[in-house]
Amino acid sequence: MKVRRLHRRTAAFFALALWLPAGAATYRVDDTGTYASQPTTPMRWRQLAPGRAGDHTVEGRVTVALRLNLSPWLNRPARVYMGLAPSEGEQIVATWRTQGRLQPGTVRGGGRTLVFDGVVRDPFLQESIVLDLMADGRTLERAQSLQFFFEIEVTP
Amino acid sequence: MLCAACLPAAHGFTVGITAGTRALFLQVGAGTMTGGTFNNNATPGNNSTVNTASVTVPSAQLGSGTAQAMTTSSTVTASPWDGFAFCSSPATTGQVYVGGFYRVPGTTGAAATLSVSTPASLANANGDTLVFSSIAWTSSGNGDATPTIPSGAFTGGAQTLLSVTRNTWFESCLAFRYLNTQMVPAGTFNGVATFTLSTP
Repeated sequence: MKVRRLHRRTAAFFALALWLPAGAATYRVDDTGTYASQPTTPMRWRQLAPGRAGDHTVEGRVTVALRLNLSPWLNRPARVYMGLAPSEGEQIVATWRTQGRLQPGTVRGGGRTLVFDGVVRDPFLQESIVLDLMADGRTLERAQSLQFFFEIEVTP
Repeated sequence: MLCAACLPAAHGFTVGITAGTRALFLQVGAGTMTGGTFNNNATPGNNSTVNTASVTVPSAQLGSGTAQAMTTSSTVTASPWDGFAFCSSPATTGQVYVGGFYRVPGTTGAAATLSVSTPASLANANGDTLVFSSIAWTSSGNGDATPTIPSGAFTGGAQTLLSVTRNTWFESCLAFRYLNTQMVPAGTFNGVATFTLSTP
């Protein structure tokens, strides 16, 4: 039993090491000035009628103008992640397309996805993304606020 | 290492989302759909057509107890979900398409109810009557091992046909027949059966 526990700890240590380079620090990015094209995004059934195949997906789309303040990390190599806070009940999946300054990707509630890996060249990174949101409509019972955020990892 | 002490002003952005909308659909006989079928996001419309199911009983058969199959004015064979030929030729089988769905966010809550309401009797121009319970139906559907709407007979009142679970599709083809168990005066007897799908 003791050996097993040790192995688990070792596995956890290596997983952490993969996420975070030795000595790297993570910061929340100030995204003041970021705004969504609409205050509320209506989620619509992909199939209005629940047919024989039983597709219960609801989906919505919103455009977001991002403004990330990266000035504290100017000229430093960094990784930027877009995260989505855990949602209430149903697992929300967010997928986005970009104009090219950030990488497209997908994130689930409680996770984060790499959107930038390189040297920070500008104090502010501005980007427009099209965010497609998806969930199982049967479990998305009420209106919700999805909290997105950005994290940056830099090596001192 | 999370450098909380040296964080710049941390923010994030919020996207508000709504739940999916509630929707209810019922088609009995003829229906209206614009743009194809539900599975390619066609739009249903109101259709006020009242289809008929009728039979002329041969005089030699009057009250014989031999059920008389009814024919229908409905020509619907295709499921509005995907166009699948769910009912067999109504011209020969008398099948009337009945289908619909109850769409609602959430997993908890009561089901919708499909019911039918008939008056106690059909009547002819002279005021003679024929009990509505003398009409029964057989339910089926191509590809269905067990029909969704059970077979049965009208009761001459309101009756529940099916409990429609949230977020499910239902459909059946009802072939009506006159049970022909009694002698009745001559004439054409009419009555209307009204199907209703109601939500909690």
